[in-house]
Amino acid sequence: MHIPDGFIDAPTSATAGVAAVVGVGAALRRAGRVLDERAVALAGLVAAFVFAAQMVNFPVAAGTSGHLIGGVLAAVLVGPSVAAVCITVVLVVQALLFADGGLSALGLNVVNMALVTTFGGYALFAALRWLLPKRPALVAVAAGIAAGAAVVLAAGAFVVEYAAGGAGGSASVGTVAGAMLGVHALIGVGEGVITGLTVSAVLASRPDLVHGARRHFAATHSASAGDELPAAA
Amino acid sequence: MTGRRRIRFGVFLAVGLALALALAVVVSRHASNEPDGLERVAADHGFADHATERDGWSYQGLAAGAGVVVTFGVIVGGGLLYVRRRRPRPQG
Repeated sequence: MHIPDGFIDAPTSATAGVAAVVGVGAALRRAGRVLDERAVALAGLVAAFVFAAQMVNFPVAAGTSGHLIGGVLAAVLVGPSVAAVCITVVLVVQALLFADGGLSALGLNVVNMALVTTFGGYALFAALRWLLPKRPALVAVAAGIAAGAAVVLAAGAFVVEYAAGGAGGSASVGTVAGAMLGVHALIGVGEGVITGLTVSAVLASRPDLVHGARRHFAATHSASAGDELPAAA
Repeated sequence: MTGRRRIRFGVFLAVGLALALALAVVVSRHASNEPDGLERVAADHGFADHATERDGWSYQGLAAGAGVVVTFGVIVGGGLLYVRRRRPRPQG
C-alpha cells in the first residue's frame, strides 16, 4: 500500500508528515521506557521479518496482488509503540534504498502503515482478546482478525487522504473508496492468515516473547529465570 | 509448561533472521508481480500516471538481503545506543 509521490498533494502530504513525526516521536518515547538489550534485539528481528515478508506479494484477484503490512503482527509481538517504530524504519529503508514509496509521501505511508495499523489494530486486538475466552491460543486468532481489519483501516486512511488532496482521476472519491476498501478486504484475509500463523509459531516456541499474551506467559516460572522480557509498552 | 525447556533466545533470534533472509532472497523470487491493491485502484481509476518514479535497488537477491540486514541494524544499533546511554551496564 506504499503511496508514491504525486498521488496526494503537498498540503495533505505535509500534514501527514507532521502527524507522522508527532506519532512516531511519541511511540519512540514510550518504547524507550521499556527497552532493554533483549527487547531491542527482538524489535530488530520483528522489523527485519516484516521487511522481508512485505516482499512476498500474494495474488488476491485477477491482475492484483497484496502483501503483508505487518503492523498488527509487530504490535502483538512487541507492543504498539515499539511496533510503530519498527514499521517506520522498514518504510524509511524502503523509501530511501528501494524507492518503494515516495519521499514526500513518507509521512502518509508512516501514518497509514506504521501508526494506524499498529495502534488502531492493537486496539482491535485488545478488544477481541477481551471478548474471546482467555485461552492463549486464541491470542493468535485475535491477532489474525485484527490484522485483517487493520488493512482495511489503513486503506480507509488512504481514502481520507485522497479525499483531502488526491491527484484526481476519472473516478469520484466514493468510487475510489469502494475499490480501495474492497480490494483491501481481500488482502486483509491474507494478512490475517499470515499474522495468525506467525503469532502461533512464536506462541509455540517462545510464548513469553509475545506482548499480546503476556498475561498468560510473562514472568511465570523459574526454569528460565532472567530470560523473559520486562513488561512492554 | 514448567520444566519444559524452551528455545534459547539466541537461537530464536538466529532462526528468525535466517527465515527473514530466506523470505527476502529466495521466496520473494516467486512472489506475484501483479500490481498491489493501491496500484491497481490507481490504474483503474485514472490517477496512476501521477506517480513520479525514482531509481532504487530492486527487491531481489543480495539487495533484498541487504535491506533485511540494514533494517535490523538500524533498529538494533539505535536501540542499543539508547539503552546503554540510559543506564550503567549491568553487573556480571
